[in-house]
Amino acid sequence: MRDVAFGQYYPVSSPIHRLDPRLKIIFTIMYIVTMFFVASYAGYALVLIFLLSVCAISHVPPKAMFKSIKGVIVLLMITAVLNLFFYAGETSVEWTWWIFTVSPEAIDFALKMMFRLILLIMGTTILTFTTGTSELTDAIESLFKPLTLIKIPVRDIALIMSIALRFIPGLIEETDKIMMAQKARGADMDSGNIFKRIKAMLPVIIPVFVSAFRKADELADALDARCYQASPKRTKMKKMRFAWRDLVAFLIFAAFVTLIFLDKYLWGGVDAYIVEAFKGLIG
Amino acid sequence: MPIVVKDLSFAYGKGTPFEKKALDGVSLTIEDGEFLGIMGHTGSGKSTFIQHLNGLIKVQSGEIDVNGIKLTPAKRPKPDLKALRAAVGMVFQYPEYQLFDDTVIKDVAFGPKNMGFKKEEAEEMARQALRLVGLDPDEVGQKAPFELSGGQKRRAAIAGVIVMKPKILVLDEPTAGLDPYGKEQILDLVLRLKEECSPTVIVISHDMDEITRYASRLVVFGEGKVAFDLPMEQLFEHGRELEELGLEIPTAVRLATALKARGIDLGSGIVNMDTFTAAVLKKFAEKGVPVKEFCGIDWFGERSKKSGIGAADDNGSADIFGEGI
Repeated sequence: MRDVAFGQYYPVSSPIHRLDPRLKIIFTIMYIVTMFFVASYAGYALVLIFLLSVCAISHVPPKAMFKSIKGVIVLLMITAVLNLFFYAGETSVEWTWWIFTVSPEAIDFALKMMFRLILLIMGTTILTFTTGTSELTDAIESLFKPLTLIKIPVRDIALIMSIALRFIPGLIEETDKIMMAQKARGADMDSGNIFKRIKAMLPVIIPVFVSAFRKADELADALDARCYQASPKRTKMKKMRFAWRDLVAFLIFAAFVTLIFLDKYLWGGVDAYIVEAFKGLIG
Repeated sequence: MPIVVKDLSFAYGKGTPFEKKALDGVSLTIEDGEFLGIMGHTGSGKSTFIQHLNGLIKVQSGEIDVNGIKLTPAKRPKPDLKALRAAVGMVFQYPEYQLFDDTVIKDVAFGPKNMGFKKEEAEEMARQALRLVGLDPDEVGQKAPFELSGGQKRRAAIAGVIVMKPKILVLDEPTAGLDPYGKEQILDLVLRLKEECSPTVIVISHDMDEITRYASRLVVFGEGKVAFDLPMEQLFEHGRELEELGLEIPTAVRLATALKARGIDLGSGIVNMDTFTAAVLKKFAEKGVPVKEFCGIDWFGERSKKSGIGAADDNGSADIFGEGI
């Protein structure tokens, strides 16, 4: 349990870590949107190069980024296979074997879909790798500030979020401890079918819930005792300010997005040109 | 059932930026019938060490032998974990947080049921275990664990471990968070358990005064290594090193040292309050003071004030050792 790595903050110092977290969230959202406009393999290569460069600047080992895919690999395989055999678009040639029908277009589609998913996951983990949880909640609070105009308690929501995030490591540790205690009493959680395993988890889940409620209670008392209130105007210890590096990052990111859109709408996917140029070289 | 640990090393989060070495080449032999106290600062590796003893943590490097059950980094042969966990009972810190079932008796019977005993047998074992820890099975057995008081909960949780009659009982800070009276009760319970079911006891503790009173041997952990494994009298000669490891010298030893500095040598062999008191009484006898007078009297009450016993003079040394006697 202690080795849960997905989406974990990677505590090093780098230009990416120091970027304004609000900007990083906006970048991530824009990145996700942009991914749906990538039109060619060259485009995907560009995204990959972009990601790897960001990764290099952020001092997060690429290994950690690739590891984030490990958890969803089964999902990726299933989507790829389904796309391959149930492609509904127009096809030029069809190869049929028994009940399976495959076409070049289906392969193309399945591959692109897989690249898209992989790059989506890898890209979004960069946000969590380089941004601490408190920074994230602060940024979300700041970004959603306009919603206070329509009486949405943004501060309270941000507080709830940061407390929830703050509780996760503690709960993992607690789960770990109780699991060990029950294993020491001979509990067997690693064998048997799924129902048996779920039942075997009860002696862990119940104490963890009890302790979560107890801790929440204690925290509420502690907040009350200090007269803490989320809603009135509060000052921040760390103020977020845009710096020159944020502007540079914005320009680079804008250039990247522009290239992807140009590829889609102006050049209509550069793959064809590349293939042509390649043929010209050989011919 | 001796426990032999050879060159055990362990790191958390191996291969990640969070890698943290917890154990670094620990070798230790624990004989049958020992009451071993393990001391060490937070993060010294003592908890990681005891978690190895019943296979809760896979051995990364080194070797452990618990009564013939061998734990090694190799995947095969697979150690018989069930037998190991029946032989080594593990009471974690704040064990009351592990209670989960709807009645105390069912919770205590969880272990034996996992070991394959039938429900009736398991519950009979649970009843015995509850009696052993000083709880009345008829009174608390059918209660929900959450209805018990803090001390009762801890007893019930300990019952859930000793119900399998482990030959080796390991306790991680069994007295944490209890008042002095509760501490004493739990430690007396541990002593009773040692006599009645688990001949070998290993206790982790922070409290020097407490552990020196009960343990027959002390091992000090520091930065993942065994820092000291010496007879107690010799151990406390390393006062400064112990303090560097974040540990305190027992009050009795500090008192004896302070007295020695003022010219009153109580002799060697003082490790806890019992040996200290014995040495002081012996000193009285040597000085010709009738020992009986000092036993069972209220040292700091009316009489002691009148006679000056127990009161310190300006130099800080007690009058009873002065020339006046």
